Amino acid sequence: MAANTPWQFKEGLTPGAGSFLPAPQSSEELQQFTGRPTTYWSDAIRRIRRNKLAVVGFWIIVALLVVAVVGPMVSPYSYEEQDLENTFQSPTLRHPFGTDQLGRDQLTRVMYGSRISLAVGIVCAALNFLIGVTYGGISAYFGGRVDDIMMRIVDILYGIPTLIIVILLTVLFKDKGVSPLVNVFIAIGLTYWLPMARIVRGEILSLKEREFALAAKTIGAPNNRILFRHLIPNAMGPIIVTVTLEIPSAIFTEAFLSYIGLGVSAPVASWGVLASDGTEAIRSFPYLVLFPALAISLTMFAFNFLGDGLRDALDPRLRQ
Amino acid sequence: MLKFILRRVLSMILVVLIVASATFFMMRLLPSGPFAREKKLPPEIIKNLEARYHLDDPLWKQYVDYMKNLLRGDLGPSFKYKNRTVNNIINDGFPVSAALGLVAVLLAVAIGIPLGIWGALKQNGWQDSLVMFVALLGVSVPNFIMAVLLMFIFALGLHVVPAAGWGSFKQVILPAFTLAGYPIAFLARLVRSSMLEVLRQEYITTARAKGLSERLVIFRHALRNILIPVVTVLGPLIAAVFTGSFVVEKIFAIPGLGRYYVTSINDRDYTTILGVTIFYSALLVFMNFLVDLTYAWLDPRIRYVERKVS
Repeated sequence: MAANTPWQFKEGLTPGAGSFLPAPQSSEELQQFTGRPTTYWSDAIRRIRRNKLAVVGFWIIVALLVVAVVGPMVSPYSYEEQDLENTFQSPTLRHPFGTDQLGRDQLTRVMYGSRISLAVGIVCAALNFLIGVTYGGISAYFGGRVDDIMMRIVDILYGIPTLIIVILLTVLFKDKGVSPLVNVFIAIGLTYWLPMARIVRGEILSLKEREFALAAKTIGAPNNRILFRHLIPNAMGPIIVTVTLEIPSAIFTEAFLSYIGLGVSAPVASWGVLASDGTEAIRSFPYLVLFPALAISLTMFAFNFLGDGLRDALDPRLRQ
Repeated sequence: MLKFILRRVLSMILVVLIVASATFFMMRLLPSGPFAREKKLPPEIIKNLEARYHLDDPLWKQYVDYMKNLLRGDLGPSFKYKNRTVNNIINDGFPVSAALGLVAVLLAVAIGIPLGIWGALKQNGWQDSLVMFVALLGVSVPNFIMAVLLMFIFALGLHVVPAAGWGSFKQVILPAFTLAGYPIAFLARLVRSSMLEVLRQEYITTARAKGLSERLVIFRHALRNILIPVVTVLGPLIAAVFTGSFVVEKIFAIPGLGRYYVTSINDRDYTTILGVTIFYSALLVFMNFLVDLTYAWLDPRIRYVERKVS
């Protein structure tokens, strides 16, 4: 095999009679020539690798995760440690991002903020995934009146701006004494599943008419097995795309809530809190708002890049 | 068509009533009453206050009264500001927000659609990459960051426009662009992809084969068909402009409804939160209704399907 690869011709090997191989006899042998059979997923990975922006987005996310986990551990400062003699320091070697109004190290706070933002993104996306997939799946699978009622509810919720629902839920739970971060999880997790439910419903509606679903039914598989083992795994492509694109909107919403004073609050440093504090000092100390702003934008960028790439790679209908 | 309108109007009323009821009970669920302040009030005063706002009535009666008033368009008094009703607040704030929102939507349409067309016509060229990059930027930069950045560059840095305030034309520019940022990006992406799809259709090939000029092909034949997906997303875009105004109005110190809303939330001014929420939902549902009407009017296929179903 190796002797026949083109680059060895260049090194002076002339193709002689001995370099021809007999035609393959078995399918395993054939595979040595054609490469592994491509599946939906290996195909998708290949396509996503070719999409430079998506790869960049992926690595930014990996870097962010590393910074979020390791950063606050190795930093010599803690996110809440105040140093009132060194407030509003411009960026220096000791404080690369400067210090804030209480002398806290801004770099540490931004790194700590990435923990909160990524946690919000992941937890909320997981909640949306669970609720949206189950809801949409049940609605489509059982169809008829169940579908009608369930989708009417989704339509009604769609009529209200999501942010308003999130704000109301946050006010409600905040006054009930739920801790701010959990509150954000609940408020966002309970509201952003609507697009997911619609997408899953659409997928399942067509999938449930396919032969493999009928086959599962004929051998007597129970409904929940057909739905969760056979139908939903086949809708995974669009589901993953939706999840990836919901992470940045969850991160945005948390930052937004914290910015208007409804999300996590001091001394905990979320990017929204940092941006909000920074805005107040923008005239004199613009770098304070700059770094959290860059961090939020970069994160949303990375997830949107990756989500876009995934959509092109996983959603066959959009293939061009 | 008439049946379609009638059905939509009924469902609109239903949605607003559901939102109103849900929000009403949610506000009543809150453990701290509206008069819980830092300083504890004497029980007599609380009693008087509760009597004044009818909070001592049984819950069902409060609900029925509120709904009755709502049907007459009366959203009740504000808990926070004596002598001001929620209607006053909406009357003061909404015209400002609406003016700002209108400018933002116009900007979005005037910039987003041409950007998208340009990208599609130069598919895979650097212009296309540029358009897609700008679009992704617009979707990724949160509006409050955009607001701060624009304010920093154009007001504090270049001094071309005032940093904040409301009243002159120059003060509209920055907030309007901030609000338009997301819609511009969203429209550019949408228009680009629909344009690419439309350009592959056979009627475009036919139009070109007839020897029509490229301009005529794009603007007469392709553009019309792009308008349909654009109209469908106008509803969510208007919603984005509304909710964007919460923070944009706060940053730019604009006396609009969005800012009052956020203030009322921080003040726990429950009647105002309730009233403005209902107002927003009613407005948005109505906008979606208008969008649907336009949609049905633009695309005869939809009218046909609707008629067959009903």
